[in-house]
Amino acid sequence: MSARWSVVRPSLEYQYAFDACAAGVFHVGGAVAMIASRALFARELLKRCAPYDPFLIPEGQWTKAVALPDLLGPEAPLPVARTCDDLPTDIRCLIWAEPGENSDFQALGKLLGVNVHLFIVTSNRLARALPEWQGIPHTSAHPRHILRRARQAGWRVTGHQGYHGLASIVWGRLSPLLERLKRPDLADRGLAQMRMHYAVQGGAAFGAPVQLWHMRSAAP
Amino acid sequence: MMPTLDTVSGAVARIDAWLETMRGPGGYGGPVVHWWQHCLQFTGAGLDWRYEGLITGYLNLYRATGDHHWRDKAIRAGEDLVQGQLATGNFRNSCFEANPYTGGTPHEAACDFGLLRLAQVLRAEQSPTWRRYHDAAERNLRAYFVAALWDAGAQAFRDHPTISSLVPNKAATLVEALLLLAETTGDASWADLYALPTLDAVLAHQVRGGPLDGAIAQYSTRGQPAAKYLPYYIARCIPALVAGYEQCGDERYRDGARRALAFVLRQRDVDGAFPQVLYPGGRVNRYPRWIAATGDILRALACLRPYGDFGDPAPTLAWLLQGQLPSGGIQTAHGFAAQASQRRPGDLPACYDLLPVVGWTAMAFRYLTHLLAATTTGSVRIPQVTGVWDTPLPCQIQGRTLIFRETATALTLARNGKYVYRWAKGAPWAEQCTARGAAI
Repeated sequence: MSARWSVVRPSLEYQYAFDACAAGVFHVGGAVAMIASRALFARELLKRCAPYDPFLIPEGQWTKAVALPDLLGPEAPLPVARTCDDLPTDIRCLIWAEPGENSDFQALGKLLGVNVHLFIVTSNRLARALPEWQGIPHTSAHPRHILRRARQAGWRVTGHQGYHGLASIVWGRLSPLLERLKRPDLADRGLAQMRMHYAVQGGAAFGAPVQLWHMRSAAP
Repeated sequence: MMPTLDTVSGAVARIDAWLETMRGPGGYGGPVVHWWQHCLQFTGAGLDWRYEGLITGYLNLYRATGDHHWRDKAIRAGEDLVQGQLATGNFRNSCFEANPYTGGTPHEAACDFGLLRLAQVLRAEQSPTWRRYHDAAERNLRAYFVAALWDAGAQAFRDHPTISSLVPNKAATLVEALLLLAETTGDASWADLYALPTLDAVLAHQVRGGPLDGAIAQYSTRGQPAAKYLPYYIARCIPALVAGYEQCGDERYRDGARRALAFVLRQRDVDGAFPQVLYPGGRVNRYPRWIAATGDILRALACLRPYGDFGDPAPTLAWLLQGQLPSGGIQTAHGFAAQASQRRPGDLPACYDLLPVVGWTAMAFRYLTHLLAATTTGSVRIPQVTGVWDTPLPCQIQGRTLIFRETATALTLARNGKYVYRWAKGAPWAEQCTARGAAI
């Protein structure tokens, strides 16, 4: 598709997670930084957080392949790309989209003790079925691994949501079957069930392909 | 029995007062609930089909009262669209229930329709500003719809740049905008090359004969129509078919509009509401039944009124007016709680039923103002009113009771005194939206 029209969207799972990040950033206020392991994630986060002049810290190799403005599309502002060390001390929110296995949580240590909100978007192996991960290896760290590393680094969890919970996935699979059985009415009811169970929290969130962690620095 | 003009003007005044509280940076915002998906987290200005209803509604009021104050509100809404137009010609956040994204269909075409109506009125008054709104609409129609969505092979507009698909009601909205553009530019090629062939494609989706006679399939993919018939969306095809008939005199369009309306009215419940979806074999998913959006069904009825008396609008108008909330917004629907089960909903509305949505209320606003403009021109008086705020309205989500409240500055849902949803009006994002509250 031509990149001229910005009708390319991430899957709904990621849309929900990014929306929740943006809502969190808006209500916390203050300076914002974001770490994105993929251009798509950077573009989506920048689009939502543009009014807050976020600092973008590209993670991985993606900015070397294509010029940043081209990748970010016509709607996104030019980001201020910095390394973690360059972040100002008044950062109030940090969004981290899909940290990898070797992501350095200790580097965020300097943000501890200044009442920072950390939003981590992560995914489990079910996410391999999403368009974002078609044809490329799923390099994201497992959510439980992220949780352990973040806690070790001094962050405490204040919220955990999952998008497209397991019950929702089952209903979503059932619906096309019902269509094929010439029961489109039941298929539509199945889709309604899918939507009702889409966003989950607590233990059920671990089963969802895309998850959002909200953490706070433990001190003061 | 039809309500009195005083009743209608009072309802319109309360809607207008409510709409003022829904404005924020960039335009009219707020949460959206829909059959397919809700958009509860993003609450910023949405440049979508709400502007079709708002601009047309304010222009109706201008016509009904002669008061420039209403024209200025239409201009302000048009300015939201011009300021929110991107370099691509698209409008910012034009996807309604799928916001925040651009390229929304039929939403951008509906915006174009509103802009062109505004341009027509300003041009008639010899205001040089008409061009600004006209050009914004033409830019969007050329750069997005024609350049990206026109399928020369199918001689119709696709719903997606790369997937062969047609959604009749969306195509119909686009046809309305294109026919208006043909009129304002005097260039018939907009009608001949694009609008009328697209109407033919819409008609090809209409059922002929049998109990579903007149119904129009909701969509088709790769030429295969889906056997799902939504009375509300079928009604949205009717004004375009009537406009097509008036443009070229082709009886097929008027006949298609009549049949479509007859189908829609055959489905009407005794309380004036309409079921959500019908399927072959007499199957139906009745709930949720729209309240605010029935303004568009009433508009379809009004469009065909010059060609005969096809039905009584009174029961549906009563259904719509009884849905006006104390705040002035119109309740969205009845029966969202039964969307999955389709069992008769209980007495307690679902929270999604109660949430007033600018996009849906704008459809009621458009029709009600049309009633005022059609009845008397230049002499209607709209009373000065404000919303009644902070009325606690019990509702439910998945069996749990919540309290819905609305003030001039916030919209909340609370359980046991704790917010599960809170939107500070004007804010681009909801402040509180729990996981269940954010269910799509």
